[in-house]
Amino acid sequence: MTEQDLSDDKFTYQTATFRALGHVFAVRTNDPQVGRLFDELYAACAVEGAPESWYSVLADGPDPGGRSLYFDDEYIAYVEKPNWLLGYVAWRINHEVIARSSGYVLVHAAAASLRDIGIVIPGAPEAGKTTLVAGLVRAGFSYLTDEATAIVPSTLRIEPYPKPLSIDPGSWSVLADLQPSPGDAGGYFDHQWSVPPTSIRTDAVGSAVPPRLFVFPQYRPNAPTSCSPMPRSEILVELLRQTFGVHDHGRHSLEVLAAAVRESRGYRMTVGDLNEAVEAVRGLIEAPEGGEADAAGR
Amino acid sequence: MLQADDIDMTFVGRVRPDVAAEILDGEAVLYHEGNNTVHMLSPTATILWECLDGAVDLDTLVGELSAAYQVDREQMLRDVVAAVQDFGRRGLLVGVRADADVVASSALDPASPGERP
Repeated sequence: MTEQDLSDDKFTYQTATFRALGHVFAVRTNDPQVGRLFDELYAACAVEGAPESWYSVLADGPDPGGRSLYFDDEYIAYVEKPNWLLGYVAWRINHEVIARSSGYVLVHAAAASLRDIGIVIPGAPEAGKTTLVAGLVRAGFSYLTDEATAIVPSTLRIEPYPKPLSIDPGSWSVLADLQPSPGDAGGYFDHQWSVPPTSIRTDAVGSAVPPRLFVFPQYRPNAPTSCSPMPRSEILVELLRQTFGVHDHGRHSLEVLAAAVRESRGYRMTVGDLNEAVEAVRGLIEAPEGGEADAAGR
Repeated sequence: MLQADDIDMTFVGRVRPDVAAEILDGEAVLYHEGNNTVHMLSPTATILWECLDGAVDLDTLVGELSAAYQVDREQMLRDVVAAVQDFGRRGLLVGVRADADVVASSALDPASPGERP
């Protein structure tokens, strides 16, 4: 199951071409159910033209749900059960996006928008980025990404990377209405929900916007939801800590992020309740600059 | 190479060329490309940072600053020397040996998209 002849005749299904920032790819498989799943999940990333890279998923091996994964000609892994497949491929897609998107400043952050105002939600894994952005989209905000926020240096706008939202079991209870209805593909979502943004709202995907609000969440169960304004210097430091490839592009990242932060405000948010957090973000957008919620934090 | 603690009023300070700086609302954020550290300076330290161009020693610099800001010269000299020693420990100055522990505490760990499933 490591070396395989990946000639075209092995595959009965090829997805559309998807563009995820600098990564242009498609999925091919001998399992049409898998193919249809990827087409549905990544529909918001679909573009015209041929892919530059292929993810190949082969139903083979001794396990009924077992799948061998390849990236171009490189064997990646064999997954014994379907519930690992989507997460594995999504992880590899994210990895390739980061490697191939050096033209952007990429921050480990979710992002949404409202009325041409970009809201960036940075944080390490498990900080609550995806949960908060899912809540925002459910409440009417536009979806930009839940993983890597790409700032275009020349325009300082966020370019959308509308991948499916990856929702972990810890957030299933507060996002129960987003549970996938996969029909006979249920086994793929046992471990993590992959939710295409258009299943939340058909018009959920946003377009490029300037970042104007940075929200650094920390989930504390049952704590009152609250926001503390941050000095812009502190916002910038925290963004650098969440910038992919900062060791290779540190000076450039500093310059671009500083330019974005100068036009923005930022807050640390303790999140005890998702709905309260969503309303708190809405309130921050509508708070006037220099009012109580001033970002200077002094 | 000078030790940071040996910096005194005769020291001529120059910031390293591999330290990038951005100033927001009077506070500098520095990124050291050589050792991948990040530093945040107070408004006062930022003013001092901008003066370290290798032109004059700290005694001369303090003379100029204390006159401009109408601050007690001797107190300012003590504060400036302490601040520049701190810059030195952080590895931000030409010709001054950094303190490994201080550098380690300012290290910028690369962001990661999460562990492979």
